[in-house]
Amino acid sequence: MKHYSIWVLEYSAIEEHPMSAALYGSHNAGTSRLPFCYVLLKGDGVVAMVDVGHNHVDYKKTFAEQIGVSNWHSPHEVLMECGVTPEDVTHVFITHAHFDHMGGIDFFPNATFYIQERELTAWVSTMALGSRFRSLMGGIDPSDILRLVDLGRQGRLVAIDGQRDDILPNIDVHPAYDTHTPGSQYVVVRNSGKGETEDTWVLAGDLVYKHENLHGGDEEDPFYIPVGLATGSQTRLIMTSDEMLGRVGDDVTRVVPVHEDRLKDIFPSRRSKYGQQVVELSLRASDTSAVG
Amino acid sequence: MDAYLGSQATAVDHRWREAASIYSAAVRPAFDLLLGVAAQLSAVLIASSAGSKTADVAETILQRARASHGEALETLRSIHLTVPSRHAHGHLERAATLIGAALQRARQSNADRAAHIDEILSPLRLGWNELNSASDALTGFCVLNLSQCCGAHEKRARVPRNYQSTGGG
Repeated sequence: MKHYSIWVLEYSAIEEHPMSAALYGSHNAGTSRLPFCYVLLKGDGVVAMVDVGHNHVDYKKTFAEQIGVSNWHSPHEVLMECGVTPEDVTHVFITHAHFDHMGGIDFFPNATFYIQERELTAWVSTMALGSRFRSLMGGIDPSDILRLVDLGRQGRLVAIDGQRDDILPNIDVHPAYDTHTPGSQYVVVRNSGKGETEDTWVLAGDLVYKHENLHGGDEEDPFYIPVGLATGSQTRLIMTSDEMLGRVGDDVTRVVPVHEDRLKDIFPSRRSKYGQQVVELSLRASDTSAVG
Repeated sequence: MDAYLGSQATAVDHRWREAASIYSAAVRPAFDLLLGVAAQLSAVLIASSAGSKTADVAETILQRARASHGEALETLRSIHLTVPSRHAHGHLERAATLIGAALQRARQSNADRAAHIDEILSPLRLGWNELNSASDALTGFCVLNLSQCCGAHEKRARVPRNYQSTGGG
């Protein structure tokens, strides 16, 4: 029995993204397509998300001119591919504080948000260091931090200190300190409700961008390559990769990177009317397939 | 006659662009400083919300923010305004005023800040919106540092094809 239906939903993309950003050390190795996605989980009385994307309205000009983000669609449009509205969402796990993972907070008026406390305190500590250290906070939009303050005021923000088992039934969160960001976290869904490695999914945020981070391009003799962009330790990223793989019995496909363009080739999928990937990782008996 | 008017229009266009680019270069430090102050204030508010773990650094951040805000105000006041820059400058002046109001209200104990967070948050958000509007009006100005995240793929700002510097400035 599956506890959750799980979909990975593309909401935007960069068509030409440098490989060196995804794979550490891959300089002058060309570009690849980088989809921007979030994860939707449906369970008994629960509609949860892992990350919420960005609010393109705020940055349309910047994104188009500077980083080539295109084909953005709102959560209302994207979630409807699975028959869900943003208002239905009850829980959101923020893997880290970058704009493309938590910039869409305002679209989800009824959700409670979960983030590692370390991710917040790092923002404070870095601000105390002065402007020479501003690259440590690249990718974080201060207005998103203000949104978190506002959520806290409304009692809709939970700052987690470390690992939390069964934060929802059969869902755990694990910290990955000093990796992609100071207080990243990943989400584990134990979908059979049995042993940890049976029908388990790791929703990895940006701890890996592609499956290649987990096998190095050599599936026969795999090795880890950390992501190319991180403010923390490459060693910690590698160790976290190993930790995540251990939770899914070394099955690379069970670690889900939300920027992996090949998910559509591994799992049942379709293109939405917006030309975006809808990928179905798991389907409960009571739910209707979104890709069938 | 048409050719004469066309050349006059081109000359005016060049002067307009020149004035805009001189303004952009002069106001850039103030824009960056105000962004920094807004970010610092957001950190102070998180510190107030998060409690004792980060409360001790809030005063350090506020000191830096006050100094940066003063510097931004001086820069804004020192700039010679021309017609093309008035719109963006209005947004920046309003941003400085609103962020300054938030900064003023943040001058209280950590516990008091936590209790009156709305009084700081409201002007700060409005000030941030003004910075966003200023960035829309100024080519190459961005409220978000995209240097260290998965979107890090910054292209060089494109100069319009028909742009030619007329020298000077």
